[in-house]
Amino acid sequence: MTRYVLTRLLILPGTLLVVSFLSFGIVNASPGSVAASLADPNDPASIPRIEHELGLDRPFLVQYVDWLGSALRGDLGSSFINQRAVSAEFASRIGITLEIAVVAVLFALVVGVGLAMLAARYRGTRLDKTIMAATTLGVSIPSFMVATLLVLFFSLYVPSYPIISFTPVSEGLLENLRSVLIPSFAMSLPAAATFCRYVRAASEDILRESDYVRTAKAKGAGRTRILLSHVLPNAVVPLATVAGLQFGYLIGGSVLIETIFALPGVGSRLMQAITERDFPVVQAGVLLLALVFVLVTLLVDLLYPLLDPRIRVLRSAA
Amino acid sequence: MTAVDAVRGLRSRAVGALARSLQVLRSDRGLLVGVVLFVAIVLLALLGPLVVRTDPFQTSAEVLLGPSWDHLLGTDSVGRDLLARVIGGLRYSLQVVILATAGTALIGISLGLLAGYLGGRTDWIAMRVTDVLLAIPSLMVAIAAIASFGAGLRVLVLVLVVTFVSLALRVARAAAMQLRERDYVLSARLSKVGTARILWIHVFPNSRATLLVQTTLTAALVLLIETSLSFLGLGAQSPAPSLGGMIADGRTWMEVSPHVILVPTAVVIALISSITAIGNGLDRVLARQTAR
Amino acid sequence: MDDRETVMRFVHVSRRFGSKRNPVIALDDIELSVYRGETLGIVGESGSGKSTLARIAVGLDHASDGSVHFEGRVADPAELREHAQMVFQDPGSSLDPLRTVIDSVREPLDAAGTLSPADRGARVAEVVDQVGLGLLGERLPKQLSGGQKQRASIARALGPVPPVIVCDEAVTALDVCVRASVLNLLKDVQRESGTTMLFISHDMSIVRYMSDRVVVMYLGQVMEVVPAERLHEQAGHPYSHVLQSAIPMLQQGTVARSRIMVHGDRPSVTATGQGCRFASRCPLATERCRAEVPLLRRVDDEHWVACHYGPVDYDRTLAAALEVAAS
Repeated sequence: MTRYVLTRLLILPGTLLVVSFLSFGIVNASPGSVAASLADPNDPASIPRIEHELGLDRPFLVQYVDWLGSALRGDLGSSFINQRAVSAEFASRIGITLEIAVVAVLFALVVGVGLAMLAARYRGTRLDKTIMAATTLGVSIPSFMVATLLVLFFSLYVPSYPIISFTPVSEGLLENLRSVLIPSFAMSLPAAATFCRYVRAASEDILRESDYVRTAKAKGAGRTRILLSHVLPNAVVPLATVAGLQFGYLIGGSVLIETIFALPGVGSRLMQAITERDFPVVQAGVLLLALVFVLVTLLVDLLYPLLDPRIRVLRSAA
Repeated sequence: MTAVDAVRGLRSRAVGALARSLQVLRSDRGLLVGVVLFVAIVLLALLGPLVVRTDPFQTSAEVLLGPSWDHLLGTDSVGRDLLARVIGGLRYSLQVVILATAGTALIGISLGLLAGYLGGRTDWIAMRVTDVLLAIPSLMVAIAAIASFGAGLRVLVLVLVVTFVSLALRVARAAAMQLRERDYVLSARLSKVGTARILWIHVFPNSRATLLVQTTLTAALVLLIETSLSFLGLGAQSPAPSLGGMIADGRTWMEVSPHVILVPTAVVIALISSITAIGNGLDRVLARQTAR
Repeated sequence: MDDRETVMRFVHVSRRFGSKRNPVIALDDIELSVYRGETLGIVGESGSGKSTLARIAVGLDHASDGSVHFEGRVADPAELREHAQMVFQDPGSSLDPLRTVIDSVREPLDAAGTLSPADRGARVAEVVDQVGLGLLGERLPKQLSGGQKQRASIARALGPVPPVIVCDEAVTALDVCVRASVLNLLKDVQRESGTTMLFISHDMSIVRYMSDRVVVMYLGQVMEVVPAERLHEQAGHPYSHVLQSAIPMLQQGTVARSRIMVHGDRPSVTATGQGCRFASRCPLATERCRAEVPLLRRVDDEHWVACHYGPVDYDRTLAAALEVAAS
């Protein structure tokens, strides 16, 4: 067990290294450069000078190693465009991105598992089939479409609701949560649909094969009770891995939602930096998101044995 | 066996396969709906330009009109016929999805089967590489790559393949690992059948069903990403029509003329959910067959 | 061993699995000769190592220690695969469900490539006929019964005329009534072709019926090697008596035997080196048995027993077991 954890932890920096190298390569491989947009349009000769000042004329590997060295010391550089320290900018933004993703996952878990239990309780009925059809739909709608449709809906029917407004935590936790509600909801639908399908399928297996269930039924226990006391705990545990993965996808997809709802998160800043070719910001942003994703999956993998009592027993017997 | 016999044999096998497919379709409602819907959409995209003679690039003064006999789905903000643009966008999306899914399947499945069957070092390398690729926030890197290299079809397809190949590889790997200890595979190894032939004759055909389901789900994911990228302006470049792009364009006008957004939205949802329904349906059918 | 022609020899063959610190010892220093043209039966419980031995014999696995000799020369797994074929236990998975009988039977011939395609087709037809599947060649496995599938497996193994055929629990998964016909097929086939056969099973009665000589294995060690016709009357190892006494009375010879019940824990397969593997369950076990590994000693013509007190006869074993049970 310890060997497994150690291996995963050792691979972590290697993975991040490769990710940072790849993103550095992609961004730097582009023909145009940020110097062009920084320079005075009337003075095209100044472009090489600006490039030199920013160190963009050095060989690729030198630039990368230099960046890497500073990054390991905690210095992620400054934005080419607005000169502010990247780490400071992201530090203030990461909270929002994480908050939206966490709220979205929680919401998706509640809705997804709830609907799955409902579908399982009324197995085979129209309700079950309707819910499953709805999940097929839910997985097939890109989150930006949900977001756009929500904005449309609100603007047409509830124009008074400030759907595109963000209140930071400092101005009140409740207000903050309210402003984050709609974006999180928009993000959560595909995840909710995924969770619902997963739990429903797992319940199906348990209901069909579990001796416990058959015994309980024979003794007269109601279907709802069986579901809640036995099926639910067993079906939900492996969900942890899926939830971790979904969280990662949500983090990656944050760019769209943050753009549509004008939220000051990492995603929207990253999007801006990419189009402006603001290398330090792009580098740090991609790396940050990758780090979050890898850490979340690692955490889930470590927590999983703790959650699943069967694995715990096996370990102690070994 | 004469040539005539060979042809007859082939034809009867094809008819048999067709009959079995129809039976499978009839057995699962969701699958049937998905297939019908998907086929309808594909036909629309393929035959559309022949039937709808309107030019999707033709602007006019008739802006933001609702559905009418002249323009079956209405017009957009610069007077272009929405139906023609939808057909154009569909053709683009289908092109991307076919190329990207084929590329992903080809590379992912062959490497995955190899890694799963051989095990050992090959497998270890494959797992580490996919670990890294999966850790990359794919949408971000897609955006970065397109912003760097331009939004051409080639870049888009390449980015999509790199994004999804890891998943296909892992599914194929799992299937191969399950099959490599089967007695008929051992027998083939015993008889000194080469690895490539074993994979091609025994492992791949026996995992076809799982891989097919996985490929359809990949196609759905590819479309999700493609529409998202088009929405951000990183797909087909204006004025070429793309479904995601049409949604982005429509945002400005959606309060006044919601149909400009609702039409492409409905089309995208229909397309992606038909593919998802096919994937889920195949999954159910497969589960029923193995249970028997 | 003796000077009959030896086609295959296991020389100090051991097979370990798992980590160095906690290895699972499937085979422990096996010394065995296989004579040309004989049917050598290998019998033992699950965990005795017989399947591992089978796989090593055909080259699907390698020995951790020791070597396998073929026709007098040391052979690595790749070479052994040239000379051996195997009939597998599970009819459900021994044939590719997507390929017809003819396709499956043809596969080893295609891989070897020694015959022309036309000759291959003829050989396939010949051997499919030989196993009694004459008209069923174009069928898929799901259209065949368990017994028919095993016949197809046998046809596949026979096709390339291998010098050695290994049958690993070939009839265990079949219905009892079907077993007889498949066993007789194997016997006929072996007699007609003169192939050397390794017949592996946990069922003592079947092994006795099929084999010329019988090897009794327990937890990776050979306990006894004896000609089949002498097994019933002259077996010398306590474990052999246990196995034989478990055969239902109808099948035994004229003398009805009481079942010898053994007690004690099965030693874990990870235990190493300390004494006879059977000591923890043997009714005759002493301190010496637990401390010292008994070597395989020749007690008669073609008869070896690995026991400090061997050869031990049935009555003595039964008496000791009853004593142990009474205490």
